Amino acid sequence: MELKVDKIKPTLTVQPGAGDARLKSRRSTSQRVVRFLRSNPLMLIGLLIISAWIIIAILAPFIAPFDPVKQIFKDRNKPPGGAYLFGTDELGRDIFSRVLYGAQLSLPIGFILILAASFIGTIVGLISGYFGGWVDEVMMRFTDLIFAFPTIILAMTIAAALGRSLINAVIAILIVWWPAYARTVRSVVLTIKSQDYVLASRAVGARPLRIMLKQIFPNILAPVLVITFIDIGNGILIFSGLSFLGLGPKPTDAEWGVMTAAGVSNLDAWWRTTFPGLAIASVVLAFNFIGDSLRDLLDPRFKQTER
Amino acid sequence: MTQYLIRRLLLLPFMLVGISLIAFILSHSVPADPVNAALGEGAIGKPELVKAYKEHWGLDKSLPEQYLVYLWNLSHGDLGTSIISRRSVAEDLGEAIPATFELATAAILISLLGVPLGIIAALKHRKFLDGIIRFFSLVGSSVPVFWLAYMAIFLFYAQLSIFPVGDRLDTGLAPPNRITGFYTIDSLVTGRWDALGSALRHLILPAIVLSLTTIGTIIRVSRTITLDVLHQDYLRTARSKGLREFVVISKHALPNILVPVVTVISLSYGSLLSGTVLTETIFSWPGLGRYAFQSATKLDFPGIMGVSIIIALIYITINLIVDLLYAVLDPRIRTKAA
Repeated sequence: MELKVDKIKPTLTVQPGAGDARLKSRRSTSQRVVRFLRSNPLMLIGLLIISAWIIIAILAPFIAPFDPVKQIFKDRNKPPGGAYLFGTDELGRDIFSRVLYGAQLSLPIGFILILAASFIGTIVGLISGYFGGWVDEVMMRFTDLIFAFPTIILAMTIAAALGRSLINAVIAILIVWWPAYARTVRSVVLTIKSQDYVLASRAVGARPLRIMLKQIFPNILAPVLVITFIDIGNGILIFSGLSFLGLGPKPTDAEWGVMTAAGVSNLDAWWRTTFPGLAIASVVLAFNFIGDSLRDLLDPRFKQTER
Repeated sequence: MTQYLIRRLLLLPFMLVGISLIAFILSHSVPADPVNAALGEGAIGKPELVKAYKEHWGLDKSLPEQYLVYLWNLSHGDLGTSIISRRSVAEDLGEAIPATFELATAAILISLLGVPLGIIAALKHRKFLDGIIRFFSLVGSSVPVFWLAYMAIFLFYAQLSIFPVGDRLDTGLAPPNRITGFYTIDSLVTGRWDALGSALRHLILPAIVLSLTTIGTIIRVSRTITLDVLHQDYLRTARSKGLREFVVISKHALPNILVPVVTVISLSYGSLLSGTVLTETIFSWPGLGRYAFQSATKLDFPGIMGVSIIIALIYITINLIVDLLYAVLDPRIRTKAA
């Protein structure tokens, strides 16, 4: 018994600083997460807001006081208060319930949209960066062309040409969004493909597809996922912009952009625009909080200032 | 650098062809009859009118030939006739371009405030003030601009009636003689004080709303660049020479901060010039963004093509100027070029 205690002792009396790595490994993961979040309040707030919205999206049918499409004509354009926390719209629908249900549309659309854009962009970037030559030239000049158009103008024109619908708006944004990912992935691939392990793999005779999937892809996955996650907020923002312009979901849908647009012409019923707009802003802000904290943390240049 | 710029310039004509091609494909995928839309229902009874129109735009030919006809007309400054306004698209755009430039210029002037804010935040890195400025900049880039515009209109127009909303001048007021197309400058130069006051009051609200979308980015970039510069060896050298902190920052750090910041500001200016669809639509500002929105949603495809080509052209030109500016401002790039 005594022998055992002696063996443990050294690790317990490690000088602070000297055995930092050891101390860290002894701390449980949850403790480390708590410590990390406490020093990054913006990150914590962002995560809390997003978790709250995800829970709201799932539980909307149970927590919403009214049916989001039910019209109560005697209660049209009621200001906030009483049974209607956020007031009612021009058809007597409860805005609070519609905002809660709106999370069921806006959140998944943001996720799917950006994931799809990053998926397409990653494939194009991988191929373009790995093969180089004319393949690269053609793909990059194509992204140049898309970049030559301002995002919202091109997305708007495509959405208008395709006709008003939720899917068409998503397709329109997808077309203008993936090139940014292709560019990023390509530049990372260019630095990775001359690394020794890739060269070794090639020397052994591995085929391009195998090298791309087994050697290069795992090394670009982490940065791409981080960028993708941060970008979801932007996706929600531009989608709500298109739907505000009347190029997205139907006017009857409980979608935040559509709801904001429906109230915009009415300068008396301020609540019809205010609350759905706040919902969009809170989600986008949460993603930006997380993104900004991550950027600050991952940037090696700022390490020295951490005390 | 020179080589790079020459390459960029040589690529320009190809870009233009590509842009016009995309615009052509887009406007031709619009489900509407171009002849009917352009000439109106009344033209059905006048076959000679329909024939003349079809000939002018080559509508009786195949699509690739139609595209070549469009390019030919385009090279002669003929962008076609707008279906909404029934005027030539070139004429419409001639009025919309200065309106957008005036709004974007005002907005970028306001968002210049972001530069000192970003530098201050970096100097107070991870202190309270940094947190406040960072929070503000993040809010600025998170709030949907259409919602912000509504809030501004609700508060300053509907409730307080401080600012007018809609168009560039009060109704009934004649615009000043056109010199630059900027109502504020033109009325100042020609001494039209009534128009100047009205133009300014119309400009302020949309300009502030628009500036909030770029100020966040400008703050963030200024902050990041300043943080980067603050850790450079030459600053440590300057400090160890015994220079006062103020001199270290203003003489040694500032020039290195401003070069990349100027680039970002110019790029934001470029995106403001082209990305004002939402703001212009809500404020009924008769600029390029609103024109693009109206022609896209009303399926006015001469309008769509004209406006997207012009906007892309402005965007590319600004980006090119930014590259040139960068070379001029940064002596290191300049010497490499020589």
